[in-house]
Amino acid sequence: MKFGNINLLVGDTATGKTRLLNTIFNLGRFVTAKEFKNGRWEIVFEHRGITYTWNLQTHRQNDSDESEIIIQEQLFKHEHGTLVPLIKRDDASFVFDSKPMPKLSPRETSISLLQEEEAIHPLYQAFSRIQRRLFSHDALSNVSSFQVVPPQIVSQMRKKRELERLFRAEMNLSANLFVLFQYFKKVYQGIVDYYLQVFPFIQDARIAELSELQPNIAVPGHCPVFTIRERGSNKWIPINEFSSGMQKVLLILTDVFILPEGGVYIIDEYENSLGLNAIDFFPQFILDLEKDIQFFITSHHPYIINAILPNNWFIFHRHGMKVSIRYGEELIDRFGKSRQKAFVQLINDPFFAKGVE
Amino acid sequence: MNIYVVTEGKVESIVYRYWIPFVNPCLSQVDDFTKVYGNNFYIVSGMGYPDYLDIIENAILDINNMRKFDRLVISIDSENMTRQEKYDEIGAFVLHKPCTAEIRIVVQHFCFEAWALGNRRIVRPHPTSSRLREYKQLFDVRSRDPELLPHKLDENLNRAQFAEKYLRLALNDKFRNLTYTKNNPQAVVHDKYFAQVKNRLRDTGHIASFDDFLRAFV
Repeated sequence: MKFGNINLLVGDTATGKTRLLNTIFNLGRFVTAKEFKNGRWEIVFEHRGITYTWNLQTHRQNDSDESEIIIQEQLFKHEHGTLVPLIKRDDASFVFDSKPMPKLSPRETSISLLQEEEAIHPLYQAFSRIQRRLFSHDALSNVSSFQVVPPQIVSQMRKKRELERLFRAEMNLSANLFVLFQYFKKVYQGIVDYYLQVFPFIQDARIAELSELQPNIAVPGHCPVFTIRERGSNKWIPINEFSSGMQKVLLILTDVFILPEGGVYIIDEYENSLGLNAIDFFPQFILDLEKDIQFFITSHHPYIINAILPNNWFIFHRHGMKVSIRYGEELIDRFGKSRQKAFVQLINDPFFAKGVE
Repeated sequence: MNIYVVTEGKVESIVYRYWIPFVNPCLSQVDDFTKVYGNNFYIVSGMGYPDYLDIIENAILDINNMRKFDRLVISIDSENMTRQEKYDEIGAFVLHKPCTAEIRIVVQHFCFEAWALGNRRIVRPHPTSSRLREYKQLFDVRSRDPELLPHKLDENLNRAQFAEKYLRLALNDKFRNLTYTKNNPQAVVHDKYFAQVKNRLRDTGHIASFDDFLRAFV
């Protein structure tokens, strides 16, 4: 499968969309968390204008041992139409940049093992920028809860303002927005402006301290709380009292603004729990975004599907255990000849309509 | 003759592809409307999404643009309206929209399941399901016109929902393991079922709106 910047996965429930999202997310985990799945992968990816091919084969040693080991790994750089080997590794040998390496752990990818090498470091960074959001009630409550901003984050930001550090800190929403407000004012304002556009009934937003909202609670350091004030009201509402849809929109905006260039953002059925006013912000947001982020989205919602051009669609169909995926660009010619909306044509297409057979 | 068919719900998009050739065996379905040559029908369904009038309007634009279709068939449930009210509503909508093809309106009064309940063979004389016995006692679709089925408000069912549940229970009672849903109406697609529905109209004059369907494809 070849992916573009915006990838909308459509298909009936249980056709394999979430499985594909998991596969993409897991690639990042292979490198950064050393968590493997048993199998074989061939991935061609581009980072900072350079194309690479990464082949990886893992093997589960035995049934009682659940940990997989790497039995074969190759990494090539594409240069003028040829594949230049960077890493070749199997049971017997490990070669990096034409030089033999000592025996290294088969439980770690070479991209992870050699992340300090100049040629590999950008790739490690690329794989660590794959972010997936789940929107269960618990997940939203967690990211909307309060958190003391770790002092080391503040001191790091004072020394060098890097969004990448904030991304890696994996903090909650209010803490992230506090750091953005302090050190990345434009980014913070961009998020708030967009948020107020999506929810025009909000008059204003600000970061408060927990001690200000709840004087009985004493916490050391900064414990910020993102708050909003609605039109016609003087009451500041803390983030944990927002509706789940409002929390979700704020989370997506903050994530995307913080995610470093070259990042991958994965969201599954983001429209759940969102009202129409909030659903329609997202396609326009990602189309307007002038940032190198790759999106993987699943949706069943007509508005989302109509708003994203069919050449960005991947249509899923499952027959037994076999999942077939059709590129939306195959449909453009036919869809373009009819005045019916793209979503209407999609749901009437037999490949889509049969869903799971 | 080429026919562009617009249906409102998903069930019609599935059942019509079988039933239309039973009415007129010369007609065969195409999934791609650009592949219409001669004696084809093409179905676009709203699949229950609330954009139905928009789909009709775009169908007319497609027809005028393609110039290959001879007829536009618009199939719609009357739901809580009378049959005439629904004709009038759709008629008024298409009145000032010039279309190069003839327009036929099929009002399913009041839903597809009311037609499907026209098959007298699917309700057993003595159902084993107590719920179905209750339904049969309240309104026996074998002897009374299914288009007159009432609401079943004690179960919070409007007449269309009642018809669907009645049909599902009847099919399940008569044929074990056979069920009916709007997503999976396979139980009603074959020719024998269709013939029973057609006979009901012919023999009793019940399910009169089904005559619209029979006339729309000849």
